[in-house]
Amino acid sequence: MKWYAGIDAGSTYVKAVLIDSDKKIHGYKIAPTGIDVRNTAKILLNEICRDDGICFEDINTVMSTGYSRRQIDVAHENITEIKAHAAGALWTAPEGEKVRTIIDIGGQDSKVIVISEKGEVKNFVMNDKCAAGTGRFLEALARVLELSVVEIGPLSLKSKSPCRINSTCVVFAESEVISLLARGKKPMDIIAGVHRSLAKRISEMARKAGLESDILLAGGGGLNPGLVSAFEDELMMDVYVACNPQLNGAIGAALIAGNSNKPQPEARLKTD
Amino acid sequence: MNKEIKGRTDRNQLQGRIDRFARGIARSSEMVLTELEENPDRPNNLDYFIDLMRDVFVRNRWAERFMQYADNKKIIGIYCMMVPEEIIYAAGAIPVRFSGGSYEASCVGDEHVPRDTCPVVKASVGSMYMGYPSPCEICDVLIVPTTCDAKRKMGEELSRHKEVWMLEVPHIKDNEDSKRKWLQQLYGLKRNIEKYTGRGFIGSKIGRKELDASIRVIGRAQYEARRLYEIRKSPMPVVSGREAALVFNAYCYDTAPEWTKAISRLNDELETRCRNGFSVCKKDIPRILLAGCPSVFPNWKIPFLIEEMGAVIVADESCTGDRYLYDPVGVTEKTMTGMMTGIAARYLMPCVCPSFAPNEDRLYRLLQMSEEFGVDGIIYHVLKGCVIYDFELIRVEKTLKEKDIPVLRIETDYNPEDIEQLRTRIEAFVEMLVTKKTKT
Amino acid sequence: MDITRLRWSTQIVSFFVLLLGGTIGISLGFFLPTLSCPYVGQSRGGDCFLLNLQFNLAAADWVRYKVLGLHFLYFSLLIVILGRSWCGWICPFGFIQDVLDLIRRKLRIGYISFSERFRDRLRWIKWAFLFIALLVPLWVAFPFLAPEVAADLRQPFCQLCPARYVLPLVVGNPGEVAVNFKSATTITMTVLGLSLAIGTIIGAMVKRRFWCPYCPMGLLISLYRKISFIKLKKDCQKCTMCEVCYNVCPVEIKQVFKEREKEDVTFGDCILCLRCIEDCPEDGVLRADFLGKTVYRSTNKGFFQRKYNIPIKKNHDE
Repeated sequence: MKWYAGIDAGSTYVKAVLIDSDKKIHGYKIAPTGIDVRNTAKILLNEICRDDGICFEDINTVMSTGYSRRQIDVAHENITEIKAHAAGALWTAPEGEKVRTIIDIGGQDSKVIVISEKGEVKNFVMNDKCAAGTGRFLEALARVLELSVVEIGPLSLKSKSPCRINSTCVVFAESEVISLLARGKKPMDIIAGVHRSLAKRISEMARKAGLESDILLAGGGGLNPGLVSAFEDELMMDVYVACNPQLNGAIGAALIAGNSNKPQPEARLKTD
Repeated sequence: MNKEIKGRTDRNQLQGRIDRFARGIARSSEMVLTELEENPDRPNNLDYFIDLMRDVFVRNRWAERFMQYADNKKIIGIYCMMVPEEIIYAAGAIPVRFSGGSYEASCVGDEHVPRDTCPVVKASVGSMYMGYPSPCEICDVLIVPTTCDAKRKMGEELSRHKEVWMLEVPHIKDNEDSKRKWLQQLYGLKRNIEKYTGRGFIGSKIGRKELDASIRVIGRAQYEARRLYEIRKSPMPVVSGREAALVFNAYCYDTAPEWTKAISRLNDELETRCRNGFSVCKKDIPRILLAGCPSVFPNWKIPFLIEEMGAVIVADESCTGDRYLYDPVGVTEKTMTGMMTGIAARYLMPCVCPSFAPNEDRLYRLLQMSEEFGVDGIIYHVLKGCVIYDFELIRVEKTLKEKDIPVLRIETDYNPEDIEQLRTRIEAFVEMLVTKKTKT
Repeated sequence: MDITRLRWSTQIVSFFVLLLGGTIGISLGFFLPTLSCPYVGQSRGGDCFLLNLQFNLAAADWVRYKVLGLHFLYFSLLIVILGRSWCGWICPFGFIQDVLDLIRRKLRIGYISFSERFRDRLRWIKWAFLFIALLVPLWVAFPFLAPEVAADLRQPFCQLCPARYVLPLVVGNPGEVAVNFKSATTITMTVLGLSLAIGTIIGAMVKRRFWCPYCPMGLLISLYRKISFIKLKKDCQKCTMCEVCYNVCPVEIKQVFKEREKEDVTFGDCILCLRCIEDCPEDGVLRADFLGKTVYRSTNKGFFQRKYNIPIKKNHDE
């Protein structure tokens, strides 16, 4: 029995997944990145190993991905999130559904990846320059409305007439939201408009990438039912979300680690 | 559009600024050249070109090195690749192709041109205002072809500081009237050059012999360029794309005979490498065709990134790359009419700059290059503000999809701040190609 | 392979064989698809088919018509084998035009080219000549109208053809260069023909192969181009559209340059002189095929060697 681990070192959260050679998940952990991503990754991996009753050295290959993938010194190799998400999507997809597009809404970036039926990347478009298409957008505007990130999704679903948010920049959108509140608009309508605005922006990107059904929503954004609904409305297609959508990248990385057929390397650094 | 040559009066006041500007360009150029020198596998004869660019951009020794080749000490600045250098050489002058490539220059240019202009034009304007590298200061006349919007307005802008001759390039090539007009433009250019170089009167015009000689000189340069092109087709690359790109960029500042000698030696060395089976890359490395906007020295951001991420650029379709010296002049007979017709045909017809519309020929060119070089993927470089290259992307993607060759669009400018974002995209693209290659 | 030298040699040999071969007993027949003018006299080595055609058509005799039919078959066979390279490589009148062109080049005189529109407007001339050669002899054979005029129009095209006046002169027989004062008809025809001849000679000194786009013999040959054994072919994807083939073409064919889809670029006006292949700077874009097998193709190295005298470096693996 061989073990493989995938670490998705994002800018906001680090996700780690442990799988075995039968592609079953044995454990996973998510933690905020903090200022020392190396340490966070190490701690997460060690915790998973401890919970599953194996040693760190038993892990055959650790594959890292995500923005800080190169800094993870416990990892043996690294790949881009594009490749990782594509691999993860095939696994995360609901049984029997063919997933062709992955929309990943992360903390500080978002991507649309179009894959073939074998899971090979056909095309991808990234937005990593502007926060208005990322989780940061939702966080910032939730804060203005004094709501938590967990609340905004279900609240937005209750809205019957979402507001239109015109600003394309997070900072200016904050001002716009404040003025909408002053004009007496209800927070649920405002937040629904915020979701809509994000979905619209990403959908434009997705169309440029040549998206095809079926669509899988991954990343932290997948936890937000309001966002799922906004995407479905905007793209006019069904959008699937797996449970634990933030793990898609880490799962993909672990799966690729499992396929790489490398002999067990020497033990790496231990944690203190 | 012949303006009086304005005096360079306010230069002295700007001297401090110019010095800092020159130091900035020298710094970024030196960084690129040092990184090229760090490669132990580089061909020995590449050092001529590295040294040349150092003389131009870092040591500021262009005049000492090249004025000796101008019979009548006249330097004519040109832009794009539609200006016939044969006529300039025939008059005993030297052409220097100014395409702006430095970030510092584009920052200066930003003060004079709109924000959304392409960085090549911004940098060209910036360099010309600051007078660095030195040929910018020394040349007295610029020939600007009316290719794209930005170039046309750049010509107008620069005419406030130097004499500018606009060369009207017909945008619709396939038209007898256009061709006749283009030939007339070239005859007019020839007359202007004769006057400028003091050859206005009977007996001292650019004669048949001189024109024939300069066609031959550039013909030899084109022959050597073709040799390098053929060498890069080899299945095991013997020279990396970032090094080969320097060779053509150097041609902009060098004189044709000297450059020809240098590239001939380089070609000999590379052919020896081919014969001995020496390669600079590992097997099955993804082969990339770099298409789109040019990477002008010292903007080596994209060539460096692509090759860092584990691919090799085997061909460069841009106008400072393989396209620059590809087409030779086909002279039907050695009369002045014959030679000028041949030159006019060469500088207009096979040119696939997207400023021409329609530009179907470029698709054929890309298809042919992809086949000949065994290209795995195309990286389509779009500079911010360049509408025409971006416009053609969709058709390029569609056409190459039929050959199962993926295309990645990279939009950037001269600012080095977006390297990380570009890195992720290029890395993902290269990963895609590697996966594809190992599966087939 | 130096095609230019080969072509000149072939043209010189043909010139002597066709116009002077008779003196050593050469007789190639009366059905040659080239302007090998019989009016040259006894010294000729073969006859232009057009004279044969007009002579026999005017005969109104079934035996003669059968002979004509047989000769037409031989004529067709010769065309199918060599295509319009009869014009580019063998025709003595074409040779004369090429010589005049050479003189022009040595004197450094530029050349005239007609615009496309103008060329299109002159297309009807060769058809007019062909119809004169076909229909007027039939009128002579069955003169239902103005028989005395018909009687003087036995070889109507030959009375107009510039080769008939020029070639005998070149061989030393100036007798043909004269107006025939027999009747008003003959005066008109010979004056027209002489004017045409003078015009063609002057034209050939400022425009390459001045006569060839209007030649009815050339028109006849071009009708066979789809079945002829020699074809001009193009690799349209590889073509860089440099326009050199158009500039170098003596009969100013634009379609070879413009073709982007079909492989077969043997057009009606093409005299198969192969200058376009010689001057094409890309490998394998233009080629001449004989029965499907390539006999001459364009090469980049060949281009540089011919135009710029750059010797082809022999690598160890070449």
